[in-house]
Amino acid sequence: MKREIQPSKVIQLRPHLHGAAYQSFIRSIPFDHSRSLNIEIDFHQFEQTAFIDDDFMELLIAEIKLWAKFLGKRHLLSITLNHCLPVTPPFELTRLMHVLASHFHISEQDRLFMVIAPLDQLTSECLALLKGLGFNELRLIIAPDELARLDEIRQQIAAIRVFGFEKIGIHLHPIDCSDELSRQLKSIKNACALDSITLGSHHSQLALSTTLEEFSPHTIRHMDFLSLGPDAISQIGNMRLRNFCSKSRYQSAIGAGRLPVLTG
Amino acid sequence: MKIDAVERKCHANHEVKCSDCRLAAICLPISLELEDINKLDNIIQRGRPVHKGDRVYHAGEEFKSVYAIRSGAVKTVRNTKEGEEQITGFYLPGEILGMDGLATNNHTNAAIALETSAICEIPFTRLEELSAKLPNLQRRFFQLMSKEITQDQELITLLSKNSADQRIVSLLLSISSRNAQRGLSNVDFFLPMSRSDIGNYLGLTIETVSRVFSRLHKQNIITLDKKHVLINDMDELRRIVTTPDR
Repeated sequence: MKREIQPSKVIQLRPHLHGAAYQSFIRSIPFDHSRSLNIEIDFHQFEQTAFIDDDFMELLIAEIKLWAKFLGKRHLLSITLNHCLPVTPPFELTRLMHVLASHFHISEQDRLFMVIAPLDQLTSECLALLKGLGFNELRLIIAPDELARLDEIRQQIAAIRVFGFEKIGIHLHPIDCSDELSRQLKSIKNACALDSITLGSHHSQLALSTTLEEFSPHTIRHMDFLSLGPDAISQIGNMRLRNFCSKSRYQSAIGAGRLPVLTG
Repeated sequence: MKIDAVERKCHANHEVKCSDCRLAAICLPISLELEDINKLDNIIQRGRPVHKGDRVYHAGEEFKSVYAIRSGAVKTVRNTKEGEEQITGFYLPGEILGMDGLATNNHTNAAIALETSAICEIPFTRLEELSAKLPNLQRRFFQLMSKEITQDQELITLLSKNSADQRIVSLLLSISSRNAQRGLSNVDFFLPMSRSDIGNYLGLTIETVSRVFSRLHKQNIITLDKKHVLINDMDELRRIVTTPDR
């Protein structure tokens, strides 16, 4: 990570706000329409908070539309979908990308659209759809004990390469024992000609750090980071905002047309 | 498999029926919902004529509609970073185009008629409005789009990874199976695109395209008369595609 984001403004937790108090809270968020935007969705988080049901995509899309109202039609520099497979059927993924594209500006050249997913979930159909939807980077999650089957992984990555993604990296997770790691990393890097290898951190931190690596410090200073879904943490200007982690609060805020963030 | 003469029924200028069109999954539920079938024309602009070289949509244009080809043929084209024109797809009657704008809200390609064509247009905003009345419509639409995007990309991937012979044969087999899907002959058809367009699409020179076609013709695997193709030995074509390092 080139630069760590340190919020300069930390605010104390307060109860859920309504009415004028909520409006006043919203006004305190430093929305600056000139800043470009990075969006991350951690579907793993939806699973962990037992959000995966028939309605979860409706909630997610409603949250995107709510944020778009406040953020404005900004330049969307990156989209990171974390663990979106197989919880999101292909048509929902297509719909999600269409909703993002119709609420933000997406440039054909200057963008990073990344999917972070376990290697064994990437079928050729799914890769074709991701490529067709404009994704240009893949980060494959591999457990260190899987590195023993290096030949198989090499073949799988070679099969992925024919789809023409600009960058392919791996993320080793979880890292419980690092005794053999150095040797294993050398082997896989040589065998698979990877663009990047990352280790061990939680997937949501991985998304942020990868995005930060891709852009210059100057660009990063003019970016906001929006994370969607339950318990997601966003950075808007100098303010860090956390989404509700309870399903009922998240749902009721979105249902009432309010941002599902802890208002304190 | 040698081809039976009975199968040799060529359709040079075919107009696809609505029921054979890939957009049928969208258009038919709308038409069933409407009390007055004529209203369908207000939603779906049917059979809009475009002439050879006309653009159905331009690169960079806002994504507003998806299109189905009723008759004729269309190519999609994008400009490379080097400023060169790259053909990204060929679309035949009954097929859908315009999905390149779905994920960025702007068309990344231009769509150009290869011959006089009739095009149906479904404006996306009208679809969204109708989704309130027809709850499954939006779902069906995105299911269809996902399938189309996946198939387009799979074809591009298939065509990019093989030898010149395999690329050209894969394209012939693709056109053949797409014809069969809409009830046309899979062995006797016209290529709506020029050799130069084929070369551009497959990343080959026009000389290579002509050379491979001539070889296939000499080996009696196909019979080629200008743009008219007759597949004489389908099994051999399939063998060419599946034989490694050919």
